Amino acid sequence: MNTLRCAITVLRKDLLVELRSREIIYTAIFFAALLVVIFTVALPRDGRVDDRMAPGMLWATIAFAGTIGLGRAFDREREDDTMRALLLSPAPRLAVFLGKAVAITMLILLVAAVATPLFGLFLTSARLLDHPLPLVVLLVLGALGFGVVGSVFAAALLRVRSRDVLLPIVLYPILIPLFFAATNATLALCVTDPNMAKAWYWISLLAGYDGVFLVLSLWLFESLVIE
Amino acid sequence: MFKALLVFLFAVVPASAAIAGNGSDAAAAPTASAGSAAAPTASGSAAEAVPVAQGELAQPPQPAPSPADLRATCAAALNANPTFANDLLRQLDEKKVVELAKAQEAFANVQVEAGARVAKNQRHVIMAYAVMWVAAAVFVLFLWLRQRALRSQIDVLRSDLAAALKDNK
Amino acid sequence: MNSQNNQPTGARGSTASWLVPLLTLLAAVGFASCVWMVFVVTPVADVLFFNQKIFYFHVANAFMLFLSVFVCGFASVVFLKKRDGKWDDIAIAGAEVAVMFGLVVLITGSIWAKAAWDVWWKWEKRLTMSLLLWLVLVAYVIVRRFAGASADRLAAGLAVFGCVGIPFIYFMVEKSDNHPQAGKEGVVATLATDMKLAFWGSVLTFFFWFVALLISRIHSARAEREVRELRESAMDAGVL
Repeated sequence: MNTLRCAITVLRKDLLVELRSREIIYTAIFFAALLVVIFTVALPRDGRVDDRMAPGMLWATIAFAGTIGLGRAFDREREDDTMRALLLSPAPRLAVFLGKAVAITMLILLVAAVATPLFGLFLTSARLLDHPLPLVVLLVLGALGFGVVGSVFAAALLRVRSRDVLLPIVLYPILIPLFFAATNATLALCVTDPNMAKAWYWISLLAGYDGVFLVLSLWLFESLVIE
Repeated sequence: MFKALLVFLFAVVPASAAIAGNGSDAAAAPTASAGSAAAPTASGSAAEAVPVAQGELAQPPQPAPSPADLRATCAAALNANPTFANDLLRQLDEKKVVELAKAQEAFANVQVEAGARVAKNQRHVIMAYAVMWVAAAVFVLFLWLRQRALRSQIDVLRSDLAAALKDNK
Repeated sequence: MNSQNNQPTGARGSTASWLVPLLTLLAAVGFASCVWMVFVVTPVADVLFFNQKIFYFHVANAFMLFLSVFVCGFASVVFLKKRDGKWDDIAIAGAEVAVMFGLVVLITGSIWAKAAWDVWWKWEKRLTMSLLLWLVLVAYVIVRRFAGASADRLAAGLAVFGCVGIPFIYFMVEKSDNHPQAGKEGVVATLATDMKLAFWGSVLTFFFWFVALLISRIHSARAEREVRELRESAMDAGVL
């Protein structure tokens, strides 16, 4: 109970800091929009994009823009050594982790909420927005997995040099299963003859990934982050 | 390595030869029968056609003899003249020899093809082995160099440290 | 303190001074006999003909890849829980050896694809999985190389998370219909007796080779640790 309350406090603190400057929100959103435009401009052939490419483009956008936001969010905690203060505070460390993870998940969801409609707008042949319910579930689960694993490693990277370059290098190999499942689920949804059973199957795999890596992160967060 | 290659050749080539041999036999059979049927009338050199023609020309009023009749006359002529029959057989044998030569050429092609295939595979196998060896060698070299550098570093540090401690005393 | 630290290292070094050459010798003898088995004794396979002979070493290398990844993951978990640098050395060694074996697996796999299907790369499920796994290990080695000594636990976390991801990758790659399957299913079971013998012989050979490399690399990691410690004490003594 205490853990939950502390987690919510950490989350509120993060959101408040961000809402005051809106630095990460604006940069991440603009970067996501930029990526959408770059993908849709660079990849079409004969004025059309193969709709089977849309899921890969969407998740690559989420991965890149999310990593930018993630890195900046933790860099902020490093600047005045506030991460150490957070970890030294009487709040349970799991609460700190959970608050951070939820904040990052929300950030990723925001990026996804911008990128997905933009892709739907630019790539009309890919029916990205035809099935909103499974799509939302999918995006939430994907953002959650990203947020959980990303928070663990971004926090662990705080003590390390050349962390900006290393964040994606460390993160993406671990997130490969997540992107694999998410892309396949999105693909099942957005093709001309969508396969709902297949989509839900991949979404359940994604949920399994989230569960396993959430447990693993809760188990290892302290030993990875504490000096 | 090359023994395996030979085993492969010995396994594949007789099999393909057997296949090709069956084909050539089947191809030779119709030509031989067609030859025996056609030889008295159309083809055949003048010298061989003459005795048959003499027998046939004795009855000009029959305009269109049926194949069965022709066969019968042919058989009769062959029975009557054993040298002609032997001649014909020899000629057919020559034809068969040509066919055989052609078939053998085809076998040779099959052999070359199989050999090329094996050689191609062999190239890939050798590539794979080379990759393995190169990777292992590079890794060991890298390990060895690193170990040597570390050793020398440790020695330098140790002697420096010992000297410093001595000075302090 | 340093002399105490160095004593066991030296003692272990002497064990390894005969163990590593012995293992290397075993691997060399095993390799020679495997080459003999593979090229002379085993029959030429039905469909794949001569390039089936890549299989014996390709798959043995893949086994060693998974074994070294397992060593790395296990050592990382123990290191995270016990905070004992000894286990960290094992984890580094496992990861680097895994990168080497993985490279061999990927390149021989690619050559196999060229020989069997006439393309240099095919998204065959085991090859795909090896590639994705290999990426995790390369990331691990990069972190160890460039993130400094303080990244030991971060790297351990990477190894553990990567290892937990393996079953997911395997399951997903198998279920995904984007990837054509090569039909190598249960290929070991279908081998002729000679082939089986040659195959398991080469697995054993590569196991010896793997252990020899692992021990050598662990020693290298220990020497690195020693250099770090010496440097610290040298700084304390005011030498550096």
